[in-house]
This record gives sequence, C-alpha cells and structure tokens, in this order.
Amino acid sequence: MPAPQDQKVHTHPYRLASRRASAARGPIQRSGPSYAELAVTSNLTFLTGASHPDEFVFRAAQLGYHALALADHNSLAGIVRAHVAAKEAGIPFVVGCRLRFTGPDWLTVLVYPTSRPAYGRLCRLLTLGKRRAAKGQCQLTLDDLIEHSAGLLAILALGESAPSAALDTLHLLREVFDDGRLSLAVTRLFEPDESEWLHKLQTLSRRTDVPLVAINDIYYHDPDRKPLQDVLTCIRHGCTLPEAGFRLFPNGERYLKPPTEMARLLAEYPQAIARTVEIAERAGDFNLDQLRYEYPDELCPPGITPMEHLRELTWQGARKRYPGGVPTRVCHELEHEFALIDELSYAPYFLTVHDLVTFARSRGILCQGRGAAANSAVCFCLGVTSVDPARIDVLFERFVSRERNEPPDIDIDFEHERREEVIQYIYEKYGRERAALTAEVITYRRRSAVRDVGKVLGLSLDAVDRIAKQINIWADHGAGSRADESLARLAALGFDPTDTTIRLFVELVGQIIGFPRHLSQHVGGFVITRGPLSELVPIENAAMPRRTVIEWDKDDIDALGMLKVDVLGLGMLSCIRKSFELLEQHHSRTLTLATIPVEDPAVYEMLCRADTVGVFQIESRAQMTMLPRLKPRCYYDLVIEVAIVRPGPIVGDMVHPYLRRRNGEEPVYYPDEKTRRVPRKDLGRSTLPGTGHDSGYRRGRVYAGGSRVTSSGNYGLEKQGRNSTLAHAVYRGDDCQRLRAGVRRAVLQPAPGVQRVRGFPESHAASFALLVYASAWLKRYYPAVFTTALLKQPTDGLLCSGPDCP
Amino acid sequence: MARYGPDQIAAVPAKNVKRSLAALPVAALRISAEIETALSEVGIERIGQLLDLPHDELAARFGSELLRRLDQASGERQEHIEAIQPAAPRQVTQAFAGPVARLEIIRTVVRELLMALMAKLHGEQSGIRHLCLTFQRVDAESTSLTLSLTYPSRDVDHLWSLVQPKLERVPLGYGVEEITLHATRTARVIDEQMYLWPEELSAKRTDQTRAVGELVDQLKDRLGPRAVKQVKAVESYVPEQAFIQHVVQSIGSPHADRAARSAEVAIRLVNRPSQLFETPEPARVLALVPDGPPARFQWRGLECAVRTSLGPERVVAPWWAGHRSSSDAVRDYYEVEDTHGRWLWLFRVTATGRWFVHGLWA
Repeated sequence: MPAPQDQKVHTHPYRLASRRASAARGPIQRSGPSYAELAVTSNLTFLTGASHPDEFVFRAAQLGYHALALADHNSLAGIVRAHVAAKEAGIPFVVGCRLRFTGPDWLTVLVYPTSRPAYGRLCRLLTLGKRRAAKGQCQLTLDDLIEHSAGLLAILALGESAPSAALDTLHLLREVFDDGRLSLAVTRLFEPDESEWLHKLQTLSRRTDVPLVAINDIYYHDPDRKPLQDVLTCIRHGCTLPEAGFRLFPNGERYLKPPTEMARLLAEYPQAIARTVEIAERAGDFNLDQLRYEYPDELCPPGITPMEHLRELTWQGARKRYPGGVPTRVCHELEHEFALIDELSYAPYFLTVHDLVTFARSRGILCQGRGAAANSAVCFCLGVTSVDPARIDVLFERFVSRERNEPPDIDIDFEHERREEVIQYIYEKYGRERAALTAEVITYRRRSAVRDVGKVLGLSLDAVDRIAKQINIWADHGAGSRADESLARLAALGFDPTDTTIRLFVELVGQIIGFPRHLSQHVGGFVITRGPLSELVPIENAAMPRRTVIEWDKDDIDALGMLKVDVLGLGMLSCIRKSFELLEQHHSRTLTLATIPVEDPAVYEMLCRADTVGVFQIESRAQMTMLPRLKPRCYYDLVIEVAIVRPGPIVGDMVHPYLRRRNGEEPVYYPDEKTRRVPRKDLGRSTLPGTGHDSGYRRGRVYAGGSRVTSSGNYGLEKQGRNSTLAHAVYRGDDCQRLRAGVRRAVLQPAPGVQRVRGFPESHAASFALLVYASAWLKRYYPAVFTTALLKQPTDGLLCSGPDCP
Repeated sequence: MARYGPDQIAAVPAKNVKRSLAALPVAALRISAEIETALSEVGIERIGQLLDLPHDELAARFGSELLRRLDQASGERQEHIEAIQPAAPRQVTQAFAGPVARLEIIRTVVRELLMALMAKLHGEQSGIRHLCLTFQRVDAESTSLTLSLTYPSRDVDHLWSLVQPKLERVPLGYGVEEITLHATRTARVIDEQMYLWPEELSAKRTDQTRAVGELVDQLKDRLGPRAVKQVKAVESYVPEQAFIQHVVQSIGSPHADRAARSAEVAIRLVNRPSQLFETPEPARVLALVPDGPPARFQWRGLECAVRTSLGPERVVAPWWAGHRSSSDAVRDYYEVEDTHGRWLWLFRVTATGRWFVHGLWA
C-alpha cells in the first residue's frame, strides 16, 4: 500500500465517511491479476449512480484494485471527493469523465487527462457544453471533443445498437487520438448477445488496430445497491418500477467485482485487462494535487510580496484603530497572526477580503466580516470587522491552523440592498473567466426522499403525503440501522410493517437520504483565481440569469485549498446605515460601527427588560423570554445569547443546563479531561459551536457536543446519521474507540436537537453580537431614528439572507 | 319576469322595464349565492332597492358581477345567450304499416337501414364501434340487439355478416312495428379512402388491421365475447413476464405502442424462443463449474451433445416483487444448438446450479 504522498492531508468532510469505511475494511489483497476500473458513475451523476464517490474508492482499495477512475456523465463534480478518499485509502485515483453527446447521441466516449494542460482542456470542453445548455445540462458535439482532444486518453464504448456510422467514428477517433490513446471498451455484464458482440469487437479491434480495454461500467459499489439504482432510474424517468421496463439495467452486475473475477470473466481477452492498468498508469501522470490554486495577483503593488503589503496595510489600520498607540497585547497578537499567515501563505486571502471591504467602504456600503478568522486582530486593523480583539478572547488558530491546511473562511455581510453592487464589482474586477459562485449540492432530505421513493414504489399519493407529514419517522437512521423503529412508527400510521413494499420503502428511503439530487448555487461564495477558472473546474449556468456556478461545492474547494469569499446580504446593516445617516442629518452626530460607545450599562439594562423589539437577532419570542434569565451584562453575554438561543440547542436541552450552571445552581461538570479543555466559556455544556477547536478538533464539526455546522448542511449528518459519527466529530479518529461509554453518552446526549436546526458558531455570533449591541444602542438612545430606519426597510423580515455560517 | 313575476309569460314594454324589475327579488338577476347573501345582510331584497343606489358604489361593494347582471336585466348591456346544440343522433328508423313477422322482410329492412346508417356516418368519417338494433313489437316490450366491434367499421357487408345470424334469434312475437338502428358508439376512421363504385371496395380490402379486426369480430361472434385473446409484449427482462394476454378490446396499429418509447437496452425478438414452456423443464446438464456453458445435456429422456452455445444472459427476478431472496432469483440463460440441429433455451439457476430447459426455437 503506497503511503499518501502528501503528508498534509487536507481535511475534507468525506474523510469522515471514509473512517467508517476504513474501520470496516480488511487487509488489502494484492495478489493475482492487476485490474483498474475506468468507468465508474457515481451519484454525482444525479439520479443515476447509486453510490458515493468515496464508497467506490474504499471498496476498490479493499478489493485490491490497481487504480480507480471516476467518470461521471459530462461532469467532474465528484472527483475531489474521490481524490480525497483515494488519498486516505492509498489507491491511485484517475480523473475521468464520460462524455455523452447531443450529436451523435449514441456515442459515448470516456476520457482521461494525462497532464495538467489536458485537464484544463477537459474542463474547458465541459464548460463550453454547459454554458451552451440550460442549467444542469450539457450540449456537446463530436467536433468539440476533437478540438479539445490533445493529451486526453479515450475509450470508445460502443453498444450493439450502434449504427453503422459508428465504424466511421471509430476511424475518425483513431486519427484524433493518435499515439495509441484510443481504446475500445469491452464489457462482461451478462447481457443478451454479449458473447457474439465481444467476438465482433475483437475482430474490429484487430482490423482497426485499436486495443480493447475491459470496463465493468460501474453504477454502484455493492450489488446490494442495485435496487437503489433502479429506484433512481425511475425517479429520473418519472415512472414506477413495473413501468420502467427496459429503462432499467437488465441485471445487477454493475458493481465492483474483485480483480480475479474480472480477469476470469474476460479470460479470453487478457490484453483488455492489462490495458486497464496501462491506461490508469498513463492517466495517473495527472493528479488533482497538481492543481495548484493560485491567488489573484493584482491585489498588491508590483515589487513587494503580498505578505509585506498585508503587514503595511495592517499597521496603517492599527494606527488608525488605536490613535493612542497600539496596545502591546494587540501588537503581540498581530505578530503572532502574521507569523501564521506567512507560514501558510494566506496573505492574498486577507488582501482579497480587504479589497472587497475597501470597495464597499468607498461606496458607503456598510459591511462586516464574521467567522473565526474575521475575529482576528489583523482583520480588526484592516477594518474587516469591528470586533475589537482586546474585547474578545480571540482564538485565531481555531480556523487558521497549521494542522489543517485549508484557507481561512471569512464571511462578509453587506447591506442586503447593495450586495449586488459588490458582486458586480467582483465580476468586473476579475472577469467572468476568473470568478464564479461555488455550487451547493442539494441532497435528499427525508421529505423529498419519502415523496420520490414512495412514487416509484407505487404507493398512493395519499399514503405518501401521510408519511411525508410524519417525517420524523426517519429520525436519522442510516441504512437499516434503525429501520425497525421506522417500521414501528409506520405501523402506528396504519401501514402494515410486514408488507414487502413497506419494508422496501423504509430501506430505500434510508439509503437515499443524503444522496445528491442536483447542483444549486451557493448563497454568496465566490471563487476567484489568477488564471482562467474554466481550466480549473467546469463552469455551468445557474438558474439565475447571468450567474455562473462551478461544479464543486465549498468542501471540494476547501480540500483543494482554493480561495473562497462569502459575499452575503444582511438587512440589519442597511438599517444601521440608515440610522447613521439620520443621526447625522438630525442630530449632527457622526457614528460608525466602531465608534458606538461600548458596554453602556443603560443598553444592557434595556436588554435585561427584554425590551428588544426591532433589535437585531434577539427580538424573537424565545430570545425575549431568555433575556431576563440570562441577564446580559457584557458583550460576551450577547455572544452567548445569539449563539445558544436557537431551536437546535433549545431542543437539544442545552440552554437550561447552561443557565443553571451560570447562575451557580448546578455544579460545572466535564465528561472527561479531553472535553475540559474544550468548553471554557460555556461551563461544560458544550453549547458553542466552534469551542471544540481549541483542542484541535475538526473544523465545523463541533457543535453542541458534536455535529457538523455548515451551510451545506447536514450532509455529514444525514448521510452518516449515526451517533458514532458524532463521536468521531468530537474525538478525532481512534480516540473515539477509547471513549468511555458514559462519556460518550454525556457528550452525545444533546444530539437529537442538533439534527434539526443548527446553532451558531461562536465566532459568527461574535460579529452578530456587535450588531445586536449597535442596534440596541440606537434603540436606547435614538428610538425615533432607529424606528424610522426600521420602517424604511422592506417588510419581508430583516434578515434578508439567513444567518449563514459555514 | 316570467319566472319571478306574477304572470307566466311576460312581455314588458321598454319604458316600463325598470318599474317592473323593481318588484322582483334580487335572485332574479341570476347572481351568485354569495352576492345574494351579502345583499340580504344589508337588507336589500328587491331589485328596486338596488336601482335606487348609486351605480359606482355597488360595483365597489359587491363586485362587477352584480352591476353586469343589473345592466343586462335592464337591457343596458347586451347579453349573448349561446344555445347548446345536441349532436344529431346517429340512428335510422323504419316503421311498418302493420306488424311484420316475416324474417325475410325484417332482414331486408335491417340491411337497408344499415346502408342508410353507413351513408350517414360516411360524411362524419366515423365507423361503428357499438351498434344497437331495437325492435318495437306488437303487444310486447321492445327487444334489442347489440353488437360491439373491435375495429371501427363502416363496411355494410361486414356488419351484415355479424348482424345476420343474430337476427334469426330475435323473438319477433306477434310482429314488429318499427326497427331502429342506433350507432351508440362511433370512432373516427380517417385513413380510409372513399370509393365510388362498391366493387372497388372488395378489391381494395388489403388493410391488414381492418382484416384482423373483422376476423376478430367474427370469431368473437361465434365463440363468445371473451374467447378471443391477444398477446401483448411487456417491457420486462424476465421472459415469463414479457407478455400478457388479454381479451381483445380494440385493434390498433400493431406498431403503435412499441414505437412509443425506445429503451436504452432492449431485448431483441431473436433473443427469445418462439416457444416458451409454461414451466421450465428440468434437465441434466454437463457444464464447467461455476459458470461455463453447457456441453452435454439430458432432456426428456434424450441425451444430446451441444454443438454451439450463446450466452449467458443473466436474468434477475424483479426485486420489488419480493423475489430477491427466492432461490431462483438469478438465472443464466444460454441459447444452445444440439447435434440434432435444435435450438434450445437452457438456463442455470446460479444459486443452486440446477438446469432447466425453458423453450425452443421452432
């Protein structure tokens, strides 16, 4: 087993899934024939493949495959996930793509880039096809392929139904993919007429001198997934299973078979088996690690390094922030952060954020950064945020750490009415070639899963509706683990739990939850590159006109260490800006977010009375009942208020213990030493997402005792949906195994609430709390101004873009 | 006025319209029930009360419908009344001067009536799917005869051949006074040419579908309505489920539903034997384990050597019907030619390794 080459393995959520798989996998067999599977369709070919990319990778590694190539249909959406998993599993991974054409439509060509430029061409080819077509579709012709064919290996997959023109195409492709880059696919899938067809292909191969290559045309990693694949096919075609007929595959052979089995099935064609390894080795020259992401370079003047420029800007800002001299503590903090930023070379990232903020300031657009990196001294000095590091116990390392080689994540909230200006600025500055929104993979949730699977199994609409309404039937079990419980709940609804269809239904719904369904655009995550973006990743049209989206989501981008800036809209910022304007007009008082008098007792007095109508974030009924009990007296109390008074923690029964402990009615208790280091400020009731990072826990995974908090949501949860996952989240890797059962219960007990609504990480709450204070201050001292500004807002709620906290 | 007014028939001179309307209840305006209740809530019950109110306010409070109805009633706005015209019934009748009991006469009359009905339908480009003959009898209830066709027909000869044998069985009683032929259901026949001379018709009778349809009708007529069945292909990889039998209802174009959608992988006809056994017959087969093709086999007491074999084709029972766990869920089919030149369809149940013959190519 070759060791992963790069020791700094990127953190990626799919690694979590992999742990589960790796725990189950046995010793790797490496004897017998070498075989590499080159045609794998994962579930990122939406509603087609029936396994996650990492499931293929781990199964292939377990079976001792020489290599594995992912070839989704006209898409590269799954390659990052598979790449990350392959590194962990220690199996060579080959980037591939199955090209389907609009002209001619019977043609299927599998392509594999052999070099970075070839990969760029493949991305450009896909971008070309996708930009032509409507969202989610791709229009390619054979001529497009020929134009972008340099450096690509190709496999032509001809079916028996191929027309006679296929022979001409074969000759043409042989010319195009010269130097032995073309192969002819042979399969052994036990389909009718296969043996004759194999003979014909062999003759064809001998006549045209195009070598044969074996593929098993995989759609699922395990034969048990065949039913799910059929169901997905039915969903795609909008039919029920009995209606599907020949639209389903004839049998269940499209899974990863052991290499010995593949060699035995195609014993008459040993050269086709050998060819798989040859192709995998040639295509293996390209690896996703070669995608060196490059930060845009126009942000610092020529002649100096980005780091020097950042230092300069920061010190300038610091002098402005602290006119009476920069406090020594802040100086130390700054130097410490500089060292980290320099070491990880994130300077361009901070410069990009600074650039956006400067632009917004120049236009008079109010904005504020949030996220742990945003709460750094550097960001405070750069003006990205107004959270004074002197006031909050900054934990910069939490998000920017040596250990996790991933870029810091800063979300910038802009006035929601003027966010579009900022977006257009980005497009203008970097061009559509170099900036695009990230994707968000929309996955099956319980409700959609119940609806779609129910229809396919032929349950009546009425029955499906009834189940969909009682959605907590699928609390969060994974495949089969709590199927009995679901069955019992269905029985309570009047369904027969012994009925085959109902059993299948429960099983399939459990399997399909967490499956990707389609790509959508992320709320505001921009990817900006130095070179053309379309050579890095295929770009497709978004549903919104004049918006373009890349094929990868934020986790993929993190894994490749690409820069992403979240440009979000926030209604309260508009409101505060309007208040400031009115203040200036009518009271001749000029204020900014940074110059509002801090820690005013009168303001907290008002908050303790729960007199908070209109105040940002804390005007809901739940918040208002909590305020007199929490009695916020300082800024950090507000942070906690914002972070914990949310449906998640409330349902998870964490708020009340917190209050009791805070008021000294209950002793502070830590489940074990490991967790003691984590929650310091939240008194052992690990309410605050983000607090887990101090002890090096995984980013974004720690929330209320262990759940993932991201905007792309409960992927991890819904997919894995097991408590063991949560344990993994808090205690990395093997620690989990050693975790005492009692501790596990204590840490994991709040989980039910977690599943439903996520809480708010501390670092984000810190920025929001500032706005809470600002709006409360305005309400306390200038109620007329504040109310006027509120009333000038659009009526549909203040929080235009929801509190999005990646 | 006629419905709500004092007189059965009312003609109101133009100048008196408003006055005579005023006395009527508001319901006379043909307004919806909601408006009526809304009006009664504010105490308006007669049209006169409405007429006294300002026009614009009425519209604002009760909607434009009320205003429109009011204007229509007073004749200030035109109202179009569209009459529903019933389609002309497709029937022909022949009445006799006195009761007729002789079969020959009735036959002749029915045939003439058929021709008359056909002539009527010809203009509509439709053919008969369902025909009803009614005989009005003296001193007895009328009796009737019905005829269903699988293919819309307007061929008098064909219909006559179906009707004629039934006529003999009609109880005529003391005689028939009237015969009615009613085409209760018709269907369009567009793709048929019209012919000037009847003899040309018989020469042109090459339309296969029609010929089949007429054959089926005659068979049904003789053997009973449920006796004629049709085999239809069903999209399924499992040979036993790849067809269904059902009573012929209508004959369409044989290619219509097959062309409706093309599947990604389809079973070609040559891959299925022309004769499929009702139950697979066990056979003893010599083959390479685990999944080699058959070399020799013993079936129906005969020992045969295999000359050629094609396959395997793996067929899986549909999992959603609960077959997943059953022991013969997966079968490997081989097309086998034995030394006698017979082509047989053998399969092995992969789970048990047992062999069966499932059909043959004749």
